[in-house]
Amino acid sequence: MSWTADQILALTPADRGRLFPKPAEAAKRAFRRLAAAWHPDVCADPRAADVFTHLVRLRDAGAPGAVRSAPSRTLRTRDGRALGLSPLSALPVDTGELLVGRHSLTWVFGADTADLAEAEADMISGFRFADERMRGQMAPFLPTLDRRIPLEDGGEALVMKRHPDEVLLSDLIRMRGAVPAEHAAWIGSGLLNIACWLGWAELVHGAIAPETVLVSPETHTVRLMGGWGFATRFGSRPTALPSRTLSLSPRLSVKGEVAEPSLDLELIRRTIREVFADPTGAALLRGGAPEPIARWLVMPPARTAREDYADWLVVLGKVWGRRRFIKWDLRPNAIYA
Amino acid sequence: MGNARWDANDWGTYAKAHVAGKSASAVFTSRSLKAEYDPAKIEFRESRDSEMNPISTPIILGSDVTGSMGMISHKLMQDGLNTLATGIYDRKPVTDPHIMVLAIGDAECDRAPLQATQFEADISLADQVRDLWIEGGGGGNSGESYSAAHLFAALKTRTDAAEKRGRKGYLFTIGDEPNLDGVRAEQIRRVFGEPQERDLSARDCLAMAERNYEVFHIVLANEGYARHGLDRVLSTWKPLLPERTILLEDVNKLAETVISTIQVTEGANVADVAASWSGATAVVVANALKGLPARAAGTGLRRL
Repeated sequence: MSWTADQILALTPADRGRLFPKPAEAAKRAFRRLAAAWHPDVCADPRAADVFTHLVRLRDAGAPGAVRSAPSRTLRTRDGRALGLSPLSALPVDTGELLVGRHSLTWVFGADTADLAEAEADMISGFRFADERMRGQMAPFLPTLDRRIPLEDGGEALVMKRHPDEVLLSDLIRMRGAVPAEHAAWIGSGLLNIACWLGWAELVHGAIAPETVLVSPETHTVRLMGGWGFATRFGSRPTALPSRTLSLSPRLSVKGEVAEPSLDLELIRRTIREVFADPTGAALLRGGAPEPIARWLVMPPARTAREDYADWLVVLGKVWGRRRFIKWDLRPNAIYA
Repeated sequence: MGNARWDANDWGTYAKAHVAGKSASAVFTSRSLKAEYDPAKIEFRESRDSEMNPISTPIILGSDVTGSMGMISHKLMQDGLNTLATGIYDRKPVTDPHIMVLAIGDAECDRAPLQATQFEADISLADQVRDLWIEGGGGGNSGESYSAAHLFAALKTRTDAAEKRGRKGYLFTIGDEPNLDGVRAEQIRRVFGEPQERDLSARDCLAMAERNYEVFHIVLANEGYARHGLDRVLSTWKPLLPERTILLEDVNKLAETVISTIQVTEGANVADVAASWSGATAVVVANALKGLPARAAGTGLRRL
């Protein structure tokens, strides 16, 4: 079959077998043939470059560099139904399991964490904003709950929409290693923007981590999707926290200690250090990141999220000057096979 | 650093030659800050895995050396280091200890507010401790710069425990005084040689250290300032380290208390650990560990 540009560009990683048949040697031959035909140096089609890039992505989607699709599974609901899922990625999380679907994120809570599912749903449905303008600015970076599914085992599944261009930050780090500094920068900005809203709402999230964040390499959008069941008001005591959080703030283990805004700012620093594939920050000050960024990541946060974000923007200005959009040629299908 | 192992026989020979029967001033002969222990001249201290110590655990002892507190270092040299190292080998609460000693002074007035040995796993640590300057300073400002030890751990140490295994080391500060509230930017520039524009509070310094260390403070309850001003001392420490501020009644049991604290933090039962020591040591350790929380087993979420 002779493939047109439209046909090739319409293929997803799941369709790659139509272009690259097994066994591996046959796939290689097919790729070489198509690449030779569509290489922009030899192909006059104006979309040759896009097609060639897409061919490479489709080839790489099946390579070890991409997350292998997790085994299919069935969720048994409390009303006796069986829901089949074929996740792109599955990840054990503190509250159970996170399944990344083609258009969804599904947080599966066990019976022992069903109260946190309830708290998470309540928190998400109770998000508040000063006015419609703030809602318009912030809602795109927060989750909306699509479905709540009570499970037969006493647990619950919370389903949220995932845009096809979004990648779970932990999958991105796992598959790609250190994120280039210019892209770590917008991830940091996105998280701090959310922290400013949390500060306005007088909420401490308490579980900001690569496992709870979706990013879009295409639009540079950052969404804080999970861990809302741990959130609490400023000055209140959380009912539970991930060990990762308690490791950073052991004092919260002590009876009577309460959550403060600095907790989320410390978690954001940790998350950005993980984005640089350097959770301890050991290598950052030795050239692992531009020096002003490294120092910001190693030093403690400012008193409030707004001050911290303002400091961060000064740091970015020192490194790159005026803010500008730097395209990242990374498609989700290079992460999710 | 830290490529060898502690040996009690080596220690016996060393102590006989350099420590036994000697006064503190005879043991510690430095009369000024030596460049090799000056934080401003140290890029970083490393605790790295090696063939001899394949799963290293960094342990920092930050000892107050102001006023009469030079005696802590003297006690460490008399037998504390040996008890600590051999005790950890015997009891194995953590693997392959790499020990660093910090000498803590007062950044407001001392010429050497902080000094740092290397991380070591063998007798070479003793030479470095003896080489520290026991300035004996400290002002009448009701406090010492213990936060400088937290900041040093955060800024100037690199450990395989954290980088390779995501494991924390241990940091103990030890002294008799209240904690001065943090380190000023000017002090960070002068003492640490770091470009710093804003002051850091004690909470800031602690939070930075806690990223990679389990942090404790041991108050020598019956010594110096604490003997008559214990409430004032605790008023600066308890809000910082609730449940991790340890009251030690007998400075001669310092090493045993450090070992026991590590054991409990790694999951051992307080009563069992205290009872594992003999005689008076068991009582002192039991009192010191009152209220110390054990680490919750496993990972995942924790109910509060």
